[in-house]
Amino acid sequence: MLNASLKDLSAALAQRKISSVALTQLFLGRVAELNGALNAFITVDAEKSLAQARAADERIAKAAAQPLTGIPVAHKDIFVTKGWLTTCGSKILSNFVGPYDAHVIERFNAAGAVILGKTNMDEFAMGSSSETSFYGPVKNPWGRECVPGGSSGGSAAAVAARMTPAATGTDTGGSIRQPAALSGLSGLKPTYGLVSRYGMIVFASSLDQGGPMAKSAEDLALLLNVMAGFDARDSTSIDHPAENYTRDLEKPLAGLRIGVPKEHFGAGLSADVGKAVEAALAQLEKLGARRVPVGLPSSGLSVPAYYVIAPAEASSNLSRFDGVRYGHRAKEYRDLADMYRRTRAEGFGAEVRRRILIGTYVLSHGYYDAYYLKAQRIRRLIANDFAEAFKRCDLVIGPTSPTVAFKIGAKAADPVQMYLNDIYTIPANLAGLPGMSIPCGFGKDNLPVGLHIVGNYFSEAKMLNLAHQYQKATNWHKREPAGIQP
Amino acid sequence: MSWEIVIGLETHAQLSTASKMFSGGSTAFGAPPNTQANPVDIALPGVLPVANRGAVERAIRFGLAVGGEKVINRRSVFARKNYFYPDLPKGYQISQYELPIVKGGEIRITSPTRGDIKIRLTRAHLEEDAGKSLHEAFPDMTGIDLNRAGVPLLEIVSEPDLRSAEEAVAYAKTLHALVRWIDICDGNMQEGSFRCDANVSVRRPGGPLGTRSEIKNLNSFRFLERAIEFEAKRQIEILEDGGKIVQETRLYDPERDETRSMRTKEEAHDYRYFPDPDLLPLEVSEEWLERERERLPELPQAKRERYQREYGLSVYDTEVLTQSREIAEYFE
Repeated sequence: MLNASLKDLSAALAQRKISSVALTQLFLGRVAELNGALNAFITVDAEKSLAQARAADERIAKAAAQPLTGIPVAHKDIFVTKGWLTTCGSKILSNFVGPYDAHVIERFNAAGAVILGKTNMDEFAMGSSSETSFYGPVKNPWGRECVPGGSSGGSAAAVAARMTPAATGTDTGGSIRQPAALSGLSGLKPTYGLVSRYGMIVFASSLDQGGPMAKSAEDLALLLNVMAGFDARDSTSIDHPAENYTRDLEKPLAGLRIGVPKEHFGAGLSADVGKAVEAALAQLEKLGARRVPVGLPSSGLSVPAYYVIAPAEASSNLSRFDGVRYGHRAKEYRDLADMYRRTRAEGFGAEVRRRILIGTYVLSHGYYDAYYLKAQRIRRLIANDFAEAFKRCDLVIGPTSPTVAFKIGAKAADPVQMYLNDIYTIPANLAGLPGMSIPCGFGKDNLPVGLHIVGNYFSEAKMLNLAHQYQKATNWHKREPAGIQP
Repeated sequence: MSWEIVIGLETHAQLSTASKMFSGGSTAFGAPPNTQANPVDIALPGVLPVANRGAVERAIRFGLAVGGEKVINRRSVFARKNYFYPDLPKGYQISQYELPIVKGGEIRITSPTRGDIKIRLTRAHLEEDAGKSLHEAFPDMTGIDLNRAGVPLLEIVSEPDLRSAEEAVAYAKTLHALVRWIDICDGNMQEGSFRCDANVSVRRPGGPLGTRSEIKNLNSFRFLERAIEFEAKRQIEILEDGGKIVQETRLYDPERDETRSMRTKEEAHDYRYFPDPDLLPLEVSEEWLERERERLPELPQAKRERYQREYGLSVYDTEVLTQSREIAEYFE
């Protein structure tokens, strides 16, 4: 059961081989057993989860089940969840209980899925290692001295350690794909606007996108079927016709053109990751895909542009955390300005404060044109690069992250080294394109390597098709970390 | 030697929609504190703004009334004005900055000294109101009422074309009558639905513009007149004593009939305006413009001209008859 696909779990529930209550108890037991070591969850509430499981069992009994009815799903603690503590990994929200459900939570609830718990994350999703959480760092199940990646590291570790069948994440610069790569699982960041941001605590409005994290591409397709959908409460939500993302999974890859950007195979890419990715490309060719060279010449500008745009938006988005209406407020203060200062200095961690300061600076009078407007122009260049590439290929493929998982603390003191982790994933966010990561082998210290797939707008079904065909031909996604067997 | 007073007005007209600028919260006046503030209005984590179509329609109708199609930007952009204040829940106000929905236009007024004149409009833009801080009700504490937070406003900015307190009042009254005539604002000044800020400076006739001060939140025609008169006199006295005017924001105190400094230019905020990434640019199609034009009643100016032409009425009589739409409709 712990390793079962969502499809198999769904069938087992439908055939009454197991009840949702029993399945939920099984995974809650895994969480109880492993969370002390991995710190993947911030909040678990067995009573609430089991109440949902009982409701799911009734629904199954009435033959009113949908594919995910009765299946436990863990949610990144960035999604506001009614009646659940929703912290975003921050002290400033450490007392905040969700008064409403995010659109993503509503969708999973409507599908009859069970909320298994809220997962740990970098504070306000700012980080690539899940070390900046107020609730302490998440450990990588593949090597507990290593980070699981971030910011959706709690979700990644939870899926990798089989504490949950599936989880949600959010991705602003790689926060679904990089932890998926570093933790040996599959993760998808959809086209910007496909999944509503309503109730997803904002980091950078124009880049944030929610998406699924699971053991396989097939599971991702089932999860995306639930998550995707227009929401009038999010002005950037796109009224795209509903799709069944499983529809193309079984298509053969013959004739599919995969674009390989040389810029993603240069200096900075570690040899072990490069080797695994090359082997995956060869495997895809064996499956009938055709490899074409493409260029993403503006790629090198993406990290600097991202670290102007994302902090600029964040500096404004996080202004609402001021201690006035909810969340942490400093106990003692002299006057209003002092209340703001102390509340925010106490409530935010160092990385969040750093980004608020960067963002405030780049939006300041006299600097706006030189930084923010220039970064927006770079963003256009990067989108144009992809538009050119997609004239010559169907999907762009490369490494997700330059290295395998690194040691906890190794990059914590050097923000620029940390930021460079997302060098291959950031361009898709800047362009609003869908991107995903799937396991494609192992590198140094037997740690997982991720294969990065970027598609054109709304080509999720095509990306899932390639990933599923690859996963039918390989076993990387079925490998599980040692030391987590029951 | 004489002095010339130069005045420009910024007027906030509350748009008469049932719900707020970016949320479904009610705009009704007078409810108990915080009973009309929904999750978007109080800026809970994760909530997002959605522009109110009715407010945009009213802004379009205003543009059509003051300048026709040519003054309506087919594409305008909502921007964030960032500052911290307890009655500003998000820590920023959503407004329009570089690209407002209305650019240009004019208001025709009758000046006691210059006769019929045109006052040019710089722009009119959509924005949301802030909440209210209540300092009286709680000893040693401040109450925050967010019922007003998010109420839709049209900020109408005039060029510095006004030359006396009387002209400023004539302009404000004409504008007040117009927004009620075209039914985009109830004009209730006691409830704050129509309020003005005045930019006042003085100069020698024909000379360059002097340094201005901005007087905030004038919510009656009388206060507007008194505040401008006081402020012009204050500035003239300083200049005649050989002093210099500092650019500053001042508050009018009706009880003492004077203006007081709130903050100088040096203390001004850096609002760090940038386009709101939670909202798409506002696109106005030709069809939409056409629909709003059809909803626009015959305007007071057109009615006056028609009454003179068709009924042979005097200018004075037509002015009396077009003071409000109710009177004009009764007459017809």
